[in-house]
Amino acid sequence: MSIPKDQVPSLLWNELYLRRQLVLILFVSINIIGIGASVLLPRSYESSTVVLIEDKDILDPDLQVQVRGRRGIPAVRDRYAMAKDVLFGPNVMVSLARDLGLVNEGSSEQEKEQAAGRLAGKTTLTNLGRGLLQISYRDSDPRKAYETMQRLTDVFIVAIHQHKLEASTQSFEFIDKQAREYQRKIHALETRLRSLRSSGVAVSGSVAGAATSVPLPPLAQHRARLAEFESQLATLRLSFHDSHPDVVRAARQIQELQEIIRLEETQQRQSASAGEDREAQRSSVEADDITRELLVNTTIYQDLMRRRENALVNVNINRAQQGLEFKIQEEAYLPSQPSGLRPRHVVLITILMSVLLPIGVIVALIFMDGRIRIGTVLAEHTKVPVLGSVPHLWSPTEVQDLENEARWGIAVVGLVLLVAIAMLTLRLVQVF
Amino acid sequence: MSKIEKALRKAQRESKALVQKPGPPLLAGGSGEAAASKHRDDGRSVSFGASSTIALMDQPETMLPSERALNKIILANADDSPARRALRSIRTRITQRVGTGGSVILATSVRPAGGTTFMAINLGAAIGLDSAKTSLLIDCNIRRPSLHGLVRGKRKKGLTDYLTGGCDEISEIICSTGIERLRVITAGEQTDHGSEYFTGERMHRLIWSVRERYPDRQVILDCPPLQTPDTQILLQHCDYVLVVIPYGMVTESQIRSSLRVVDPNKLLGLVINDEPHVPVMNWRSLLKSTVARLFSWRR
Repeated sequence: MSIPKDQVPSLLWNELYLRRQLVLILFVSINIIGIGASVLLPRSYESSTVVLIEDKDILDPDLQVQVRGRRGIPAVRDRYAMAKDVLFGPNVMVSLARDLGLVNEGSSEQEKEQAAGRLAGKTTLTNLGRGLLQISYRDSDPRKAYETMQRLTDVFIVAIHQHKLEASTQSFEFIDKQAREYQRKIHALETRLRSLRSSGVAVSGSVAGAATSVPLPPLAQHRARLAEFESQLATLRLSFHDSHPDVVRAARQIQELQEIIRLEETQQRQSASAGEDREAQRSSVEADDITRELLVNTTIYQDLMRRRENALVNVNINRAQQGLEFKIQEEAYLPSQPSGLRPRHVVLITILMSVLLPIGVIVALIFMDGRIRIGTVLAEHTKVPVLGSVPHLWSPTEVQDLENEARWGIAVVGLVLLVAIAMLTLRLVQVF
Repeated sequence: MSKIEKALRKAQRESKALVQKPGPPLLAGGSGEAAASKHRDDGRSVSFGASSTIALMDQPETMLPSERALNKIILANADDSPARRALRSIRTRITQRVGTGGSVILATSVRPAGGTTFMAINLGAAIGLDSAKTSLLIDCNIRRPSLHGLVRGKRKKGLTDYLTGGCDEISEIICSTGIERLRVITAGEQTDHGSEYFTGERMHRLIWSVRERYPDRQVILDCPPLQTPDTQILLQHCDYVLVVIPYGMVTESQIRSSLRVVDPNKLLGLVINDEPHVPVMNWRSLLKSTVARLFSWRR
């Protein structure tokens, strides 16, 4: 129903009066719930530790890039995410539960999970920025909160170092495996090349002197350049996506070079068709291919070996717990005051809500109810003149009844407020 | 009985004695109402003015302010309640539309218990506030009659008694109310035949008589809701229709559908009834009395 704005206050007042029993019931109910909540609300004590996590890498930035890739240096946000993963991961929480005696070796996985979940629910991690992280633990017992926080800090420090060490070890193992694979490939190619040499095939290059052998025929030069480009491309692909301009440029150059080589080979084949031995030529081509492949693999292998050494250094750094600077900025403390929602807040919110909610309900009823209450609205909608609105004419008995009702209302409201104030006072003096 | 009430009763007795003292032959036969009608029934075109008609009225014991308050009837004076102000305003607007008298206004509602009787009585009382105007209430709500409570003095026959031939003179069914310049015709004793009462010739004659005989008088029919057959029949007899809308009880669509049966030319207007109004209360004294009662309860 559309209600003129200027008539809303008087209409609201009228409806509040008409539905006074509903308003009183709401008022009393909300207060009973609120007072009950303020009494039953457990006190919550919170102890927290502020830690500073910084990457203290002894590697120079270039080396860091090589070890971890271009995006390898963790940002503050990444450190927070890492700390969060570690803190709320099963290891830390189960270790903490074990330390606190919540679970033991004989506990089932489900029990461990439940205990870890309960502890995680009471723990919060806040990113304060610039590498500062706040770990908080809350409990109804202040001492328990404090002791648990201390243990949690210890467990967390150990776990985060362990996490870093595991990550670097995994990285090293992966690079090492790749390097071994390339080593095996190079060995096989060298063996094949040696066998071709022994069969008298002229080889245009060698592994060791591929880059320095001069002079080479044009075709061999092109093949050597092609090998160089392919090596470069392989190196670039380790750091960049295929869409990167450097990768695209290298790929285009390789393509052009391959085209040139193909033309030259065709010409060579045509000129040699008169009398040369086809078998010898095939062997020569194969030797060239092996040489090229050997060059590419050697370059990649050398790069992997460099990376492997760096990864090994990183593993050793983390093993010595030097990879992260982990500094406790603020020690866990024994909380003296409860934190969170206090009973006084609950009581104040309750009183506020017990006044505002009934008003809100009445306003909603006015706007949702389509029944006619205002003369101007009625005249506008029906196009029939409204001669007036007659207010309720009170009889003396009705006034007396209303006064009795008001007395009851005063008594109930007064009693509720009295109980609220009494509860608040008792909580403030910590009677319960 | 308070001193004021005693004084009022004394004043009434004195004024009654003054009216009856000259002892004109017209008043000898009974009430002033009967005398006035008898005079006209002689066939002479004698017409009383409002003041002379009113002067001839037998004014019974006036209803005391406390009784009026108890019956939810606005007071003649010394009352400035919002309801009284609103009713006076409505009366004025109606008078502007219908003139000084001689018209029949049908008061009805769009739902049962919509406040039609309250509105009819108080409208009659508000008209009576003007000493030059009178009104006649007819209780047409035969199934649920309610105006008989207003009757002062000897209980007379009512509307249905007249319509069924139980009496022939209209003057026999017009009763005094104790409210200044307000008369009433009650529903009567016969209430068995339902709507057949209003379709007969006698109903036509009654309406014609009250309209023609008392040109200074506003006739108000207190009717059941618009949807009832009785009211729909009575719509043909009336000059104007006043529809009472109970506050916050009916929707716009209900009102629209109810108004379809009313001739737009007869529709006087709508009145919203029983708008909430918080009476003035002395909260300090209430608070004190509450505390006092709580303590006395403890003892």
